[in-house]
Amino acid sequence: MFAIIDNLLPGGAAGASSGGGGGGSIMIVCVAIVGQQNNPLYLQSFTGADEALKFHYIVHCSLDVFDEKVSNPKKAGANLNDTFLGLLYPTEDYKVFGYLTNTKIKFILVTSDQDLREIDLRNFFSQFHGAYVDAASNPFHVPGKRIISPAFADRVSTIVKSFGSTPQP
Amino acid sequence: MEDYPEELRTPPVTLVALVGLPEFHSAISLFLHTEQPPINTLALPDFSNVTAIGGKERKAIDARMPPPVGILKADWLLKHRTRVPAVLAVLFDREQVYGDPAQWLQVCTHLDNIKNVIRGRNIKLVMVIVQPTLHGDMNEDRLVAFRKRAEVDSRNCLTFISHDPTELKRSLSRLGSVLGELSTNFYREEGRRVKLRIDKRSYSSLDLSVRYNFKVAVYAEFRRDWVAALKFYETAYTQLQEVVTTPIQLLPLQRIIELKGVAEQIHFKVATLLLHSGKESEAVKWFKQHIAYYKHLIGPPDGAFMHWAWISRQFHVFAELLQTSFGSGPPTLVSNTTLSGLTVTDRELQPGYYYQVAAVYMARRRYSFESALTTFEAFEDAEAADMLDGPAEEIGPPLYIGQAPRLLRRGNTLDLQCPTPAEYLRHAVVMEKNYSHSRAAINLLTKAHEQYKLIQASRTIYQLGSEMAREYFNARDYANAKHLFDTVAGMYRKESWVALLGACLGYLRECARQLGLLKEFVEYTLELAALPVRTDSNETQLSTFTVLVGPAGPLGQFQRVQVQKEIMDVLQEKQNVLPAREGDVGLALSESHPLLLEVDLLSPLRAVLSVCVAFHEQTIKPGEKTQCTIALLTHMPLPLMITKLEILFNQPECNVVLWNDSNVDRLVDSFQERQDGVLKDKIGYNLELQPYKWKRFTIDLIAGQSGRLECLTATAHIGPHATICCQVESPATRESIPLWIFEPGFDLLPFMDIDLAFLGQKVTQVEEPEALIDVTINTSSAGLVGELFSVPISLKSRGHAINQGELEVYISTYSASGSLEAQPSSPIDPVVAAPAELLILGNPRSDSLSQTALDGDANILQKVTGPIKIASVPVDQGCSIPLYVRWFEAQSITLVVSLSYAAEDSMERKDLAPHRFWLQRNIQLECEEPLRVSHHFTAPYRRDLLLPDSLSNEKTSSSSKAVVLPSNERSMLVVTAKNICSTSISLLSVEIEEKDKSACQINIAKQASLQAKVHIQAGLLNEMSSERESVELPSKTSKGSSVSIELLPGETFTQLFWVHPAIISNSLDLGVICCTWKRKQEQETKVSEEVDIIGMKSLSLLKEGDGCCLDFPWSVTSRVQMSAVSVEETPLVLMLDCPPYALLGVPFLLFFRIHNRTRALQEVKFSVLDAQGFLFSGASRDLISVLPLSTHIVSLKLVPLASGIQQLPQITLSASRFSASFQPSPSSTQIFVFPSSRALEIQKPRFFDSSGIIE
Amino acid sequence: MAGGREVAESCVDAVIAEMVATYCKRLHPSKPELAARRVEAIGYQVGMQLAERYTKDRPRFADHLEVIKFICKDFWAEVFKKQIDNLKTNHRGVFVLQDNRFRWLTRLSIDSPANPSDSSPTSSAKVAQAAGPYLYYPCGLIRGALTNLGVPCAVSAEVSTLPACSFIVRIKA
Repeated sequence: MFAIIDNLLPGGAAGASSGGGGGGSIMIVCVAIVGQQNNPLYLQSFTGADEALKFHYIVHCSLDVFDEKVSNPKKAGANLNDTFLGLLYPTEDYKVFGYLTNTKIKFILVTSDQDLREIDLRNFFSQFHGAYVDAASNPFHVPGKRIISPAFADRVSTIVKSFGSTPQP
Repeated sequence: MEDYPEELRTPPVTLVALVGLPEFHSAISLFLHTEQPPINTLALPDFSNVTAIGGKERKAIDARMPPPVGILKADWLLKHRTRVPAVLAVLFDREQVYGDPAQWLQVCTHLDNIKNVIRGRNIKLVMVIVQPTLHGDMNEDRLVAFRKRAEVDSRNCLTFISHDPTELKRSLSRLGSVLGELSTNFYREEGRRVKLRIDKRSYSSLDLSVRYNFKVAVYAEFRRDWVAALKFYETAYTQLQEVVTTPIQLLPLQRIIELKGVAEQIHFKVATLLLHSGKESEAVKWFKQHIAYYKHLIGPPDGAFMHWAWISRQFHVFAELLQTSFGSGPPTLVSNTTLSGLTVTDRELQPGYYYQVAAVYMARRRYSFESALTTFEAFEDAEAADMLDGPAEEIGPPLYIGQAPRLLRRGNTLDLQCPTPAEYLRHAVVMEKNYSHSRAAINLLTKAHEQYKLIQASRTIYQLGSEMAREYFNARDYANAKHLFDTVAGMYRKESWVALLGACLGYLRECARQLGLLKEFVEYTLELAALPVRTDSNETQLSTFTVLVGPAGPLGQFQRVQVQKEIMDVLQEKQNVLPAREGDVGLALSESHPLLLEVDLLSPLRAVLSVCVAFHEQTIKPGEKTQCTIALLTHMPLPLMITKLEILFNQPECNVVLWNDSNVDRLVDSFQERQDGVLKDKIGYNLELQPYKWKRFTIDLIAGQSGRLECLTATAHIGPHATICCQVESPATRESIPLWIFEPGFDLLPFMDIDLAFLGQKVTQVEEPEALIDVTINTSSAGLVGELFSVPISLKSRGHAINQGELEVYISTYSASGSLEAQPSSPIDPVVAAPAELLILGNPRSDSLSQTALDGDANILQKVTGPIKIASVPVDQGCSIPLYVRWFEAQSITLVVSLSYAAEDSMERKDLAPHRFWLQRNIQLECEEPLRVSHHFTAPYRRDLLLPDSLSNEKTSSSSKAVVLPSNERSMLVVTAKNICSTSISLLSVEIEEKDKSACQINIAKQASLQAKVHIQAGLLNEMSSERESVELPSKTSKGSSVSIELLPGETFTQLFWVHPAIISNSLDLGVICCTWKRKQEQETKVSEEVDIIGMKSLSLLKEGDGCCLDFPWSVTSRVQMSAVSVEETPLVLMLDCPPYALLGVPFLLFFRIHNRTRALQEVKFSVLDAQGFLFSGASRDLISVLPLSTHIVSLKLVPLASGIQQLPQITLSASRFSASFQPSPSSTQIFVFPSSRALEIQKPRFFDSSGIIE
Repeated sequence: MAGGREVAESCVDAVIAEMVATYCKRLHPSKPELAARRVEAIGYQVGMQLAERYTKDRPRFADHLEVIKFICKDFWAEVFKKQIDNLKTNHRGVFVLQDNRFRWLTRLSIDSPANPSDSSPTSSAKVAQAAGPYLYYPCGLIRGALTNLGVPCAVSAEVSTLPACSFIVRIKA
């Protein structure tokens, strides 16, 4: 942890974060983590790269829904402080799901427009969160900064691949 | 929604028809229209018109229908709302009914015609017999016959009272209710009839069932049975989806269009009904299914744009429906988070959402149309006419909903009339060509924007903004596009969404290029190049220009490098910005168009260049060398080459220019810059900034001015006419670069030295320079009261030339606390309170040294009030101010001297006012009294006077009594001046100023003062000599001797005066003793001082005029008032007469002369006591009587028995008249007896030297 | 950290001691406040990361008080194997977390061994002065955790008698 304060450079800083989990599940088209200042920490899309920007827009707009849900939770109904926010909103082609941690980190999942089981989604998000926690706990990671660790990218892509493979409860 | 036909948009309204008696139609139709529910009326003025509502003969229910050529008749709805009434009301006047047979016959014929007409479609019939008033005989059987003829029962045959208002109203309402009821029946029956067909499934194709369901629904709507209507619409809708059996791709385009058209209408109906019944989420679900199903019915790619148009329209219409149904307020609907495919989120209840999506599809419509257009123009022949674009008579409207217009000239069967696919497509393309997609999209987006504003979905709004901007860009409205993109970019900067920002910037710089804004172009480009993207997007996409990504192409390391190369060439003027339009040269920098980029702490360009400055010391001494380190950082992907770097401070003389060693050619003009003296150049730095690496330079500075020294800006010259002016930061308070703050591994400290890195400041404090002037106040010793005590203040310059200096001088006495309480000598309150005053010698008019020196009247004493101006004193010279203190009382004071001046130094900064220095000196001055002057009177020597009063007074023995002097007698005044101060004084004169000469003459005993200086222990020798002389020479004047006599400390000077009172008085003021004295010192120093007097004072003081002009400035006169004396007659005078000395054993004579000054005989008794030093002979006691104004002498012969000072025998007189006795003082009756005459010889000379005065 | 690797507590103690020594003695002997700032910064980051981990899969906190309670209970238990002994507040954004046996002070000894019984000002002052540097890190830890949980605050520590210690949390409005 001293190393951070003394600004040692992370080892594989230049490691390309893209390319991870290229052909994941066809359901999931994009996953993203957004930081406390609503800045993107990690965004990975699993479709053609020319569409990547579209997902940036989608994820960014989804932050509005986060705000709405947090600001007036009465609409959220029973599960008041649940981290899993469910479906945020559909776009013309996709569905956007959200997950908000205690530390105001926002996890966003964009799927192609199909019906999904909530259990799968919850499961995915908790795995995703776990991956993030481990990545963020890396002493070489400064909180609030983008996550570029390739290990994290790999882990996320495996999580994405394994999406929906959770057994029924 | 506007382009939908009226009959579709609004719920259907019952239609009834009126015939006969047209004069009442308007009134009735008006009434019916206002009925609840309203009823439209079709007024047929004349019975001949009735045929209009007739229809063709109905087919039997079970008749097999041929497969239709369309699903819904285009005009069916309209027909039922405008042309097919539910009820026909026939109006007859009672005259016609009850009138003569001729009229009756006509009525019958009318009735028959009507029945013929309406038999086709079972339109209900109502008979109305109009009569003006209630009463009037009526023919009962004629009425029955009438009903029978009309085949209506009595309920449907009513009389209408036309002229009685109340009755009129009643009959109107009756009519209305009857009509309403009948029409309801009509529509129910119609619906039931059609439904029967459905139930019997007596149709060949599903199309018909769709149609039937639709019709049933419409009939239900007619009778306001919404539930049923909805039900049938829904079945119609679902059945429509079953219509398509063959795979969708194989369907011809027109068919698809038709299907979608029908679906659109039915869905619209469904949605409207749902929303009206307040089931928003239901409606949303329906809509989602609707879209989900038809989204993929694109059909052949050429016509894809029509599909997108359709989809976009769906969203648009639904958005409008939602908006209208919600009014303004957003819905309050708890979204269920069940994950069934039909979850409705809050978003989906926002009309804005649908507007937005509609806009998206509008854009998609445009893209696919553009591609379609290219292929179309490639293959189709351009001049082929658009068959479907012609006059109305040739081009008929489509018969069925969603079908193409018909070409009437081709024949009269539908399949002939319908156009070929090619024609159809061409028509569509031509139509689409003059459709402005961008405007439509922008409208949609604006609507969405308004909607989203209601829920403050800021980011969504920004996304809309960028979409809008893209549309503007597409429509070549670059100004608007740029404006929008600018605001949007702000948001993405704030939340540092780099990719989105990159896209915005790509558009922005394109806009700037198109608008010819070079500065903006450069700024956007630099920002783009400095975006934190380090992952390399593969180059294959570089070519692909997707609209989202924008003209800059997808963002990546490669692109950043490209962009920077490009912009650097522009900045270094190797090439121009590529022109916006063909043929023009594009933007370029030049002498006339230089470029200056300001980078402050908020600027997004901080990533391009940010500068950190830290001084090594917090405080530095002026004029001493100090160090400060400058650290530069760029986040551009390639090294940033700076040709020269100007670092500016708030003290311009510290400014520095660092030159890159690589370009020596620039050095030339650098030198001539040096001539300006503005900038100091330093040559030979390597100013190439490596990406992401701090470049540090440590420079030496010499701060000239005191106060804060702050580094303000660093200006980097990138090209010959391109500079970046960068506001510098302190490392301690440094803001990390926006966007890059979230990049891991990029926050290196600007400085190696940890302390500097954490605590370094770009500001340092320069201490005050100390004044280079010595102010010395040299005082000899303690001052004396009354004297002009010279306190010369001398200024000596040690390197500062005094310029317009001011000297504040004032006296302050010590207060109890010991702090100085100052009394500045200002004209307003002259220093009266002060125990002393300040004087200055010189000419008030003159203002500078030179004049004063020449001035003759240089020695005018001025009271010092206000500051003393000091003209300029060159470096290493001095001057002195001849200041004088005159005490009024012996009290120690503190002299405060404060000098303030402006150092006039190097000429180069005339601009800023020269710094004023200030320094103060205090000195405590002691003061003491110079002299103690005392005086007393004595009677003349050996001449005693009888003063009866004094004697009598003595008896009363009052100690404090005025001295008594005899009148017309000289008595002696002894004035003693004792030097009680520590310095030696030279006494110039001791004088008496008489009160008035007539009353009393005071003459100095002249000789006495000749050598008046005698030590106290000097004996009372040679008294007689002095006495005698003074007697012999009475001085004319009372002026004292002006010979200066030096009195050492503690010494005393005595001066004798004769006092000769002329009048008798018991309190006689004799006058004042004036001792003129001066401090004993050499005259030469004085003179030398008088030469270099300078400091002068302002004119105002001269008017006060207390500059006493003295010819002899250095002497002081201290005056002592003598106490008053009383003067009286003296009756008797006793004089004692004897030789000055005696010899042992040699007899001599002693006479007592008793003089009677009265005009009466005086009896005097005397007695002589003998003295042991002598033996004498003569009368020792006797009573004698002295004659008036005569003298009686008593003589004694004495033989000295002892040598030395011997007491003569004492005589005591007592005047019987005054009963007063007295004897001379023993002191005056002594004599010195020499042992022998020889001794006398030796002694003789000694007497005359040591002649003096008895103390 | 469930399933995570574990380290001996002594190592943690050693690391903390060494860290304090490094910054306070070696790097910035002359600038104590700078040393404090940097040690606190380390604690801050660790606190953030721990907060991220320890709040995983638990519902979101409703208000600040819940967060503070979390720190006192779960967070403390995770880090120090015990809970805060006493929590006081003035209901205006100031909380005092009292730990009667603060783990990282248990192995701290004062040069002149002041037995915990006497709390004469001199000894307590000595104690504070000696313990001070070792509290920068836990202060940072708490501040990091709270800040990451959306409670921006300033944290200071007070120690009078070893090994008791109280942390004062001032929530920034």
